[in-house]
Amino acid sequence: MGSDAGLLGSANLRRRSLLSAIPLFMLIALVIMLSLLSREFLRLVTLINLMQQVAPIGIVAVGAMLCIIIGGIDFTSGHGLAMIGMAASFFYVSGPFVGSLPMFILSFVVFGALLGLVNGFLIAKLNILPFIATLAMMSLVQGLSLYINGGTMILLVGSPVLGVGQGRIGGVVPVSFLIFLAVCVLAGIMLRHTKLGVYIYAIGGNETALWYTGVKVQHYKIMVYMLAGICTGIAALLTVSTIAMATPSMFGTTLIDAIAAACIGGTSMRGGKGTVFGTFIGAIIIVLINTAFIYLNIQSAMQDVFKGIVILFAVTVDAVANMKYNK
Amino acid sequence: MGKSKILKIVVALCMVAALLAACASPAPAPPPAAQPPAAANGTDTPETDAGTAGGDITIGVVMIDMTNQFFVDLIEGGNLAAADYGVNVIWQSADGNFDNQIALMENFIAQGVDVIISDPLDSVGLTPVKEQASAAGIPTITMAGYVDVPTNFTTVYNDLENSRITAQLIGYTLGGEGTVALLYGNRGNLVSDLRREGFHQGIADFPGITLIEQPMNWDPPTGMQVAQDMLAANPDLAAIHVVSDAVTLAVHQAVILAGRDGDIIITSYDGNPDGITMVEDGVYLSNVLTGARKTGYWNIHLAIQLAQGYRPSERIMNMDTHFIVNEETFDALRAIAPHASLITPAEARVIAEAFRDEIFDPNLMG
Repeated sequence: MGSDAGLLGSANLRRRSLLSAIPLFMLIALVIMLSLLSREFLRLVTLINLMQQVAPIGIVAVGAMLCIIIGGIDFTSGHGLAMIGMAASFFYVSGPFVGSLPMFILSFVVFGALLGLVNGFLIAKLNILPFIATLAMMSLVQGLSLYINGGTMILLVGSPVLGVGQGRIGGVVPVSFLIFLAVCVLAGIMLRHTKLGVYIYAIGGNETALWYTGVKVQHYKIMVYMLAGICTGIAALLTVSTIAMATPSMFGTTLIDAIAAACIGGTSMRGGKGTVFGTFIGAIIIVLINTAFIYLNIQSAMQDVFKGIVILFAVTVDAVANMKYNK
Repeated sequence: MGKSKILKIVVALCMVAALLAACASPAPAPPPAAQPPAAANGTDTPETDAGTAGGDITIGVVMIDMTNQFFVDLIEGGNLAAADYGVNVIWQSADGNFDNQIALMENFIAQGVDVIISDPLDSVGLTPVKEQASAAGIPTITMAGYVDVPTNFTTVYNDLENSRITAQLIGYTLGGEGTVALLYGNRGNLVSDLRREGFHQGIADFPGITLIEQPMNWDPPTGMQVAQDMLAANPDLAAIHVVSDAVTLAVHQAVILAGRDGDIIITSYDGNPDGITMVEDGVYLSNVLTGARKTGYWNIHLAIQLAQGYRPSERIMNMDTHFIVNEETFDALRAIAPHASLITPAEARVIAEAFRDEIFDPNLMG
């Protein structure tokens, strides 16, 4: 009996390991397919572009993953990115710290943390559903992004801040990608080796049970939304310093792409499950899908269809895995 | 949570609000002194009959979006007109959603505004709600799209023709051969569709040119990413046309990062101040001055005329546009489009700033 249970347990583990490797298989399949269909794909410039493009989406995705693991969601990352970019750039070109690069970088982190603090307060202290709270905040930050500088774009052409977004180590590795890697490593260490990481998974697994053990769940929830806000702030820094401007319209598809990346990477929308590595792979897949259609010169409408199929596939895999695991 | 903690949070939020208040743009300059009456093309001085007092006029505007730089400038121009004439303008954004656009127009009808201006996502699709407005006695203005309702007036500039000419300028400059990229807004957006269609028409005259295209969703980061991938996937890319100035600046960053600055022809549209400078510096081959602020000012001016009972004889009114090019490109452009208005960047700056003097009518409010 005991050995049967052990065999079943190890079979479950093997199955789960296999399922968690699916995003990696998807990525490999996508790369092989693109290499076969476009002779221009397997070039160094493609890799450099990919590293640069994945950084902001990937960093926002790490923040989104943390929120989803605790059973929440953060809808402010898209317009929040634009608002933080506008506010920080405004203080860079006017105000007491004009032209100060350290203050410029710091302001992104501070504004991001403040945004996350407000989100966390609404969700943890006032007990508002994350979906509702961050949806309302999304509207609020969109309005703020239009309010700052009258909604007029702030140009940073020729500014030294471009070194953050456009700089390349050895002419090859984008600085922005190294920042993304650093965020991933820190998030990974935090999730695996700190008390906060343990509580993040525990909140997503069974928040009530954790609360009964005396853990300050609200406190940790606020911390998670602050971390997500900081991720949005760093992504805003990379975006602004790459495109050499801040504009209220720069939110693009960041929100959807980041949540999709976390989802494709195996983060369970039910909470309690998700890895930095999976999210890293998911972000690369999302950027590669966008890239693929340009390399293959396929009309954009199909891009959304394909992206939708990949997300559905990832969600289905998660659902099937959960069904088998619960049997 | 203790009261002191709540107090701390409230204080922190107040500080954030104060910080953001410091980020606000300065208030618009006061209205200019009375200028000689002038009108944009197609809008003669109104014959005011059933005059409505300025402060009583309320104009509802339904925008596609309010985050794009062009729309931000358009709103600024419209607000200047509202301040100059002392009327109320309510700006609403459809956030790129056609259903929202209809709902917002219905709200304005129910609210009983004097005039409704819309920048349509789909001008034909707006016909029923424009008819509703007409039945309620509310005249309407459609920017950039024709709607066949007697009380609707259309204000346009010729996006189709301007884009056709731009494509031909690129074809002519490339000697009729090469790969050309078009970055348009998004399908289903009227302005983007017109600019895209015009560009296609112009390039069609050059069978030796291969056209590749992708949407950039009016979003600079997306535009930059698309341009980076287009440059990587098409090493022979010779020219890029972007249908919106705000995005062209980001696309230029992609060209710089690819090490191809000065090697690739870039053309743009809208004639924003930075776009004008780019032509002057030789970074862009051409730009088209539509004048977002002028468009906003002109539409509010026309709306006031409609609110006062004036009905222009023509239901489609064209706003003049100009090609911004350096003098060395004048000859090429004249050969392609003999009747187009060609101006230098220096002239463009003067024209872009002079819209208020050109349109403001001190007698309009009676």
